[in-house]
Amino acid sequence: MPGIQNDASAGSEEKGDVSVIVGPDDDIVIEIECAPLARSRVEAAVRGIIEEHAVGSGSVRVVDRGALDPIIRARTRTALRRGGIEC
Amino acid sequence: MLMRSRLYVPGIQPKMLAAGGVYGADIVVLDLEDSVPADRKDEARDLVSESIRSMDFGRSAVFIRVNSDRETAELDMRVLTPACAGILFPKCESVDQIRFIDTVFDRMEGEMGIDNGHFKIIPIIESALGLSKAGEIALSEDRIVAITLGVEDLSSDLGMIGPDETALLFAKSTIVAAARAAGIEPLDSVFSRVDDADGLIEACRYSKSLGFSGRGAIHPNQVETIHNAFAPDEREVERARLIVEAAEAAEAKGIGAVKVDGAMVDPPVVKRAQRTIEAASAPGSVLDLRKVEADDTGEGEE
Amino acid sequence: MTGTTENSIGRTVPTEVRGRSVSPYAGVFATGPAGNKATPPLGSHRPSDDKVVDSIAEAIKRVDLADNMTVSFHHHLRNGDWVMNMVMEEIEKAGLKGMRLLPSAIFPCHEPMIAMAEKGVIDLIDGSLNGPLGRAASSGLFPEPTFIRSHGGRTRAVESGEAHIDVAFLAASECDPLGNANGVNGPSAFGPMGFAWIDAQYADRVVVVTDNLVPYPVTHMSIPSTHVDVVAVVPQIGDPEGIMSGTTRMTRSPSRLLIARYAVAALADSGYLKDGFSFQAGAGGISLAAVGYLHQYMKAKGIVGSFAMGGITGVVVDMLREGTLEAILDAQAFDLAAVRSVSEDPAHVEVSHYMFGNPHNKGCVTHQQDACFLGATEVDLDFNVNVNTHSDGLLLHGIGGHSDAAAGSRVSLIVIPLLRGRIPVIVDDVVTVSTPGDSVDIVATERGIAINPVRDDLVDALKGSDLPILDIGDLRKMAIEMGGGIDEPELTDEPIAYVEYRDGTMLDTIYRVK
Repeated sequence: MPGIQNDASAGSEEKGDVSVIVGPDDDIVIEIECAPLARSRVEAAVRGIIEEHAVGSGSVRVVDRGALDPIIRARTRTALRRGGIEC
Repeated sequence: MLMRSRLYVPGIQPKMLAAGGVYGADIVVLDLEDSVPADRKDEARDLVSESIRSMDFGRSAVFIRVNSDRETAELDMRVLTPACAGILFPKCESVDQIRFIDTVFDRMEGEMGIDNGHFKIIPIIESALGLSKAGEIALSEDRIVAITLGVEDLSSDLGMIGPDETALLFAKSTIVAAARAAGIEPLDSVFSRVDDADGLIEACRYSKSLGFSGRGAIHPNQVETIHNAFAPDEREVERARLIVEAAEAAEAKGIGAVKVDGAMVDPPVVKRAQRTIEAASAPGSVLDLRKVEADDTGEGEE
Repeated sequence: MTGTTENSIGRTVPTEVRGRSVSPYAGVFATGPAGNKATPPLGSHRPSDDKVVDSIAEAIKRVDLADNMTVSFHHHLRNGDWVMNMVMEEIEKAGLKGMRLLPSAIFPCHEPMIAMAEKGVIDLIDGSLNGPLGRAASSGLFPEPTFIRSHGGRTRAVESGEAHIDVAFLAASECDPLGNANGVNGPSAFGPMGFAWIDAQYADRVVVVTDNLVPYPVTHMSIPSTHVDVVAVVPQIGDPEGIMSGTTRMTRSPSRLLIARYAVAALADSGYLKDGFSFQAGAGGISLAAVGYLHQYMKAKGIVGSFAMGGITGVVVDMLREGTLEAILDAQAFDLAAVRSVSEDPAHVEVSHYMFGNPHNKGCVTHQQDACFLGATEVDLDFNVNVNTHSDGLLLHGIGGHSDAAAGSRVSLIVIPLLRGRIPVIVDDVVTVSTPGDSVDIVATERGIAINPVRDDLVDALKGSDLPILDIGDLRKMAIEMGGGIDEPELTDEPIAYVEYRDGTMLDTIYRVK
């Protein structure tokens, strides 16, 4: 399973958006900063993309400012691609 | 498909993508071209792709404005789903470019299992060369449903200073003529002064007088004004009704020729009449203020 | 909570609070008044008496303020208010403890009250909690639950004696030595004193706090001297910049402007928008935009409205000036245009919040109006509206005049976005009921409009409309599909506040956040 090769990012911390920063790591490490009630959904959206592309390792740091799920998915996909995962 | 309004939504702006479908524009153009910086095309593609698959665009037909170089254009086109209507192709200068797009669409429609010809094309003429080829471009492909112009790039390429509507008359009339000859819709460019509502009304009146069917909008606040301006008046609706009734009567009798008031009416005219009736009953302004003023007072707008 | 019961909208509410029996909410006009009005003590003023003192400390001594008394304030100075903080500082310096506050509302500038509550200077704040104080209350700041009341409900509670005020401290921008006072003149002018009227009528003692003492008599008497015990002169009652803060400007967001247009269009299609039309608008950005469109539409159609009730802004003043409205009834000014207009235009009339919204008086303004445009943090499938807590359960806003306006208006419209970020504004069940669904008629969002099915007349009137009329359940589904949804808030079962409906019945319980 492919791993994230290099540091990369997508998105922003503007209201309604999400910032996703990825980098190499030995395991899958996901850190999420968001409103408490959104945590499980944000994590589900991010993990969904990670699993879709069978990412084997890498760190994913997410700062969510109230983005809709489609935006979270898009930003995660962009960051992964820029980090060397084929998406 | 009505094409009175064509609302451009930057593909790089998440909040605008989420709201793109609420304004009731006839066409929403999710832009991957000019509003997206060169180093963020991938990002915009991902955002637009997810938006198309997840967000509700209401009554708006969804088009993507792709990039003009072939490699990027194909990547952009691959974002489309069967729920989308097609693409706007910028800086169009040749029939070859249209053929290329057609080939990609043929392949995509086959892969998706949808009707061949499903995806439509609206070329944007933005150069002197493109303007000189507008007629053959418009006639080149059945997928082409409309043609429009990009005033900024076109006027720059033509060496214009300003320019004002007088200077643009030839270019705009060329587009209208190319469209009508091909039986497709001519669409005018955007009106960039977002806070000038009266200016937009005047600009739309002028567009309509030249023969255009609609205008581009760069701000949602412009959509209703454009709809109202391109709404047919009672006289046009009445004439259209006569034409459509005559066409239906002729079809019922198995007669090919359609006659109204003793004169023959060609198929493109019937098609336009159908579109006029569609426009008359389509949503215009939520508050119908302009209609109120026209009905009640005949006085000028605020 | 000692005893509880379920009210007519299915919410669990107490049967007794602070030793007093309370009744569950039973319907918008189901509960009428009982008994007599409260009777404050008689007072007098002899020709030689001097009411004027040059400090709040002196004023506190004059009125014999003591431990555990209830003091009240109005919030006309909004986030520029200095009076509450000044008074409470002096109360603390005087060593008093266990005070109960009954402000008409709280603003972020009152954050120092949190420390006062932690130190025991303040025991409880009733009526309205928002911002930092609301957040602190949600975490259990106070030893017992507080009452959350609407503006009209607060006046009802005071007049009935359920909410007793020992001393009212009323800021005024102009005052004479006998205590005739107003908020329309002077460097700190803030407009009508609608909130202060009930306090002046029923408090045992009244202190007017002013930074502008003028010779007798002041001629614009929002508060007459006949109710005033002490006039405390201070250097400044508030920050002029902050006085007009906290109100919103008209929204410029295209999607929120669309909501406003939908609301006015729905009203137009309902048949209520005709000559003699009357309305009230909230201070939210979408509500203000709706008023702007209302004005445009009425002008275009030649409709002349009878009155607007507010919360008044320059947008409404323009309607009066341009002849689209015949009168403004004003309990609170939201901007300087409104402040100027109430002092200059005889058709712009200052009224009290008692007149505005108390359901147990003989001439409540909201019961006369045709429509109101109101906001919400949440609306549920039964059209119940939450304006107090957010989806996380934190108490962040007061009710304002929301439930008063909704109850009385012939058509009450809630104007809201479908989502705030990813948070759905339309939910299955609101966290807190601030305004019951049986007083809410239309919900307008940028994606569609829902009509309360109990309003057959509106459902019929809007049947042939071009507007996107949807079932509220469909709007809810759309919100989840688009946003992705959020988790349920984590609440304990410990009440921190009770939402009291305008008629004194118990509408809902607000719980401590985990």
